[in-house]
Amino acid sequence: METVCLPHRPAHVWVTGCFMVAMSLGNQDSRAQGYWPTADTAEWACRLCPEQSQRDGRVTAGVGHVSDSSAKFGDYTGLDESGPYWLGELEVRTRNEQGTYAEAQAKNLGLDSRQVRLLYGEQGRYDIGFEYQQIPHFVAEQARTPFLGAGTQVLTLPANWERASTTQGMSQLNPSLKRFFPTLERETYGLNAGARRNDRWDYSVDFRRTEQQGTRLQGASFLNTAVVLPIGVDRVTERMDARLSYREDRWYLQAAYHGSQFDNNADSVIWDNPFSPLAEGGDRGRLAQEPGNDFHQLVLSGRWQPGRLLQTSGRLAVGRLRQDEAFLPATINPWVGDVNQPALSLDGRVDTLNGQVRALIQPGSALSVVAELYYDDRDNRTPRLEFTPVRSDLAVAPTQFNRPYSFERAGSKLRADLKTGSGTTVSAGLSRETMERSFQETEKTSTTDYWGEVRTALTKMLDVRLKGGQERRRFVEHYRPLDDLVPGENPLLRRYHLGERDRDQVRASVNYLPRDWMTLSVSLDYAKDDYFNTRIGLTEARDRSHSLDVSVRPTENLSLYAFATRQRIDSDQAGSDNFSTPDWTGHQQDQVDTFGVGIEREALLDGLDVGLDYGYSYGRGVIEMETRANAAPFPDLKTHLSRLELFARYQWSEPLSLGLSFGVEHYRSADFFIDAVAPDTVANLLASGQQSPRYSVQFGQVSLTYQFW
Amino acid sequence: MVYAKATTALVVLVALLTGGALAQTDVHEALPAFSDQGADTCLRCHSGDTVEGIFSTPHAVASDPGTPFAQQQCESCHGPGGDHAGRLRPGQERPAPLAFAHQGSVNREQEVAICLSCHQSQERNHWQGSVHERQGLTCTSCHSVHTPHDPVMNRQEQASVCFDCHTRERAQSLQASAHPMRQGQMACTECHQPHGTLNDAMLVRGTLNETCLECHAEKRGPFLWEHAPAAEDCASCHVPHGSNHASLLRRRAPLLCQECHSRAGHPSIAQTGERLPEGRPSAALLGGSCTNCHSQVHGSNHPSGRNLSR
Repeated sequence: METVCLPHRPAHVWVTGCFMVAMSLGNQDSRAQGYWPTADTAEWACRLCPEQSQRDGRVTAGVGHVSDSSAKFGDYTGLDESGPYWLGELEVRTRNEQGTYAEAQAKNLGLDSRQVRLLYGEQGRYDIGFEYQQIPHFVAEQARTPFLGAGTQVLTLPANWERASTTQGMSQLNPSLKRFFPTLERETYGLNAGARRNDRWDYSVDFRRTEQQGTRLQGASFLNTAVVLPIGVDRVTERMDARLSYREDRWYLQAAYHGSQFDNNADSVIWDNPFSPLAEGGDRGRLAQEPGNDFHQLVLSGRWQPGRLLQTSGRLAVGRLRQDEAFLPATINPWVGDVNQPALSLDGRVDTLNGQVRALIQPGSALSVVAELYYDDRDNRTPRLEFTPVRSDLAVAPTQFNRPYSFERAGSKLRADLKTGSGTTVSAGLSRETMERSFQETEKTSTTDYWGEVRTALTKMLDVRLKGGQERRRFVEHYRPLDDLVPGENPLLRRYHLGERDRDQVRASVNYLPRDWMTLSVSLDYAKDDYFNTRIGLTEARDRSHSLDVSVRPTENLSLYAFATRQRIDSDQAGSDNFSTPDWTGHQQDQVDTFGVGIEREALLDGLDVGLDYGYSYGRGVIEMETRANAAPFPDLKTHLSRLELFARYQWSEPLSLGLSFGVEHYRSADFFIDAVAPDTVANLLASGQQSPRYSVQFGQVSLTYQFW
Repeated sequence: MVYAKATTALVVLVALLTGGALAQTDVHEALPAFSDQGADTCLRCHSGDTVEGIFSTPHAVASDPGTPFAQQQCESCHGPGGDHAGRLRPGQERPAPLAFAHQGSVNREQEVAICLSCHQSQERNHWQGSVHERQGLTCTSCHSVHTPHDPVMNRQEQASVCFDCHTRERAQSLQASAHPMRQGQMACTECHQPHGTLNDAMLVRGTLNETCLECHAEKRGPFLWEHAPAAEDCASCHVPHGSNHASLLRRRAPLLCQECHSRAGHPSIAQTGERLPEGRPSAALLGGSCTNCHSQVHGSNHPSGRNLSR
């Protein structure tokens, strides 16, 4: 058994750790009580102050209606079905003169997107809270499957199923198809508590349990035939954060523990192969699901400010990630026979170490210099063993060693901001980072980044910012295709996250305030990535965006906003059909235009507030391929969303108000990857038949709010 | 080696400063006097919800010695108001309060210092030197103090505050694939710590992957067969704020996968419009494209999952 890890950590990591500990040895000063000098408040009776015993309570009940059923419209909101729904909300706050308070909030009580939050405590001393959140997520629309047991761990085909080598030959496919709705639901329960003692000590603990259940889509294959399966999801994640912190006037130290445990109650899926078996026993397959794992981390962070000249802060986190779930058998096919593996479980272990230190030096009010060091280490100590895989549950394949990936990232940054007397700030920065990786084509890359920025107030009303920078990523160790990868990658390939890259970035923004109630903002962003040494793979990428924002509040009870944004992302890449020099190129362009406008008018009539919100988004994706032959074009990918919502609130009486809202949302999308792809369209793919969403939904709500405090 | 030197230099610098740390410069030079009667002085002129809303907030609980109203009341934050509340000579313009004046911030650093004099623990520790601090934001750029309903503290309303400046992210939140922020199910602060952290993008956890894996722990592994980019950086394939493609992907497969995979056979082949349903439909293009077979893209723990298909 061999354990692979990176070389020992450099000395600066340990120095950083020692530095963090040393921070706790600073001078101890008493805590300052506020910013200003202390006043003589003996005569300050606060007679005109409203009563400080605060109570605020309101309950809202009503009914809403959705005109049409749409999973996409109901995604994350729970409004997926047409018809009425009931609306319930509650908001209660109470706080007495001693600072004891209680809060209760509940939203969307009539929907599957409900949220509840309870809080109780004594201000400045302790608090206890509970939280519940439910999030429905609709994965796809109009999905169909011939499988029985959709959403479970065993997917079987009907008894009369007739296997065939292509989907078109499956005589029972269309009669067996059943509609199903892939849906995932997250429920999170949270419990937290915190306490403070004598302004020095802070303790807090936060526990969360998230249960995720439902059905999702996942592909599974036998060599060159594939099927999209309706797979059941049953996961639990428990997280805990505990913090202990101590503060003095000039320094602060916090020790924290973070724990996260993931359990999967559905560790695999067995499915009947709908295609003709390619080998004896190949009529069933088994797919692994995500294994349970746990992560534990200790974090020490703090701040130390010996004077105005120097402020320092730092963080050091040591973590361990483990995964030791029992392996599934190498195959479910009894005809393959026993396949021995070197272990019953992975005994996977990853040690993490990351930390940052920042020093802010301010020799005067005009100049500040920030120096930062950071380090991030993923030391994968999982044993490296030789496994005997079974290819697609059909036949034993050559043995292979697993590759427990590790990386070590270390970097430093230096930044200076100089304020000139004319309301202008000139900034410059540089950073350098090295990245070491194991089991990859290059062991080490180095990245340098230089940037400059000018922020200036040309007039009291006009603020201009301009920033530009260049980043250079280079190989420190030569890029060599991996020898033990069979079959190997094209030697001309440079994986995009490793490849040498020049990145140029420009950002500009203008804020104009012609009146103190009006703001106009324009911003531009441009980034270009040039993978100048890449012949196969991503060669160039560009990201441009610009936006215009207007915000107006001419009177106390009238506000308007409008915005428009365009983002365009282009990427060019090259490939080789015949595993030699580039013979095709692909260009992908995504352009998204977004527009929104809103107006809110309070007290339009006595007690009547009204408003309007409109949002629009149009995304267009273009994929162009150039090959030796004239490549047939792809249709555009399109997503079109528009939403108009009108709302009004009328104060019927002192405690009672009426709320009305009405909206229309249109969604149109075209996605050639799934549109017109029926379960039997592709000969060797039994697809889900899902189509890109389209809907036009009208929705409205009527509600009464009663303010009882 | 260069880092060791830089760290050593930094530690030496700190050590030198420890012995003779500079005293705090006196920021209270030539301050006016406090008002005669504290809040009563203020409330004679200032009224209405935008002012008196403070009395429905924790800031006004006098029994908590850490709050403004246990100290100098309104003047704990706005500064000594003797000049502002005092008598005026004919033609004299009334001086503005020293801090948090209605006309806007005169001294941003001072206003932040006022807030931090009480709110300096926990997540505000790394404010100095943070991106928001450098961009000239103050606490009141985001927080509404005189109301019991501070929008930025509310999960449903928080994003609209952040989007005032983060216009790109607002546009991305409206795209075809996005986290449920528009629906009020997720707040910016579930991933970001706006008061500053020591990492890029002000993430709540130490690294990007640690932040993502808080909610997506099933993708954490370690797996028997790891997918290196996924173990290293979720942003290799995903964008966090919104995408034109499903699952917040940067680009569409197969092109996305072909940025890194070029083996002989189907990984190398250009998929064109000929492989659409009306032509010769291809499983390497349609449906889930590469993930029709290689669906374990975050890693597989199956002994036979080397090519991420089990």
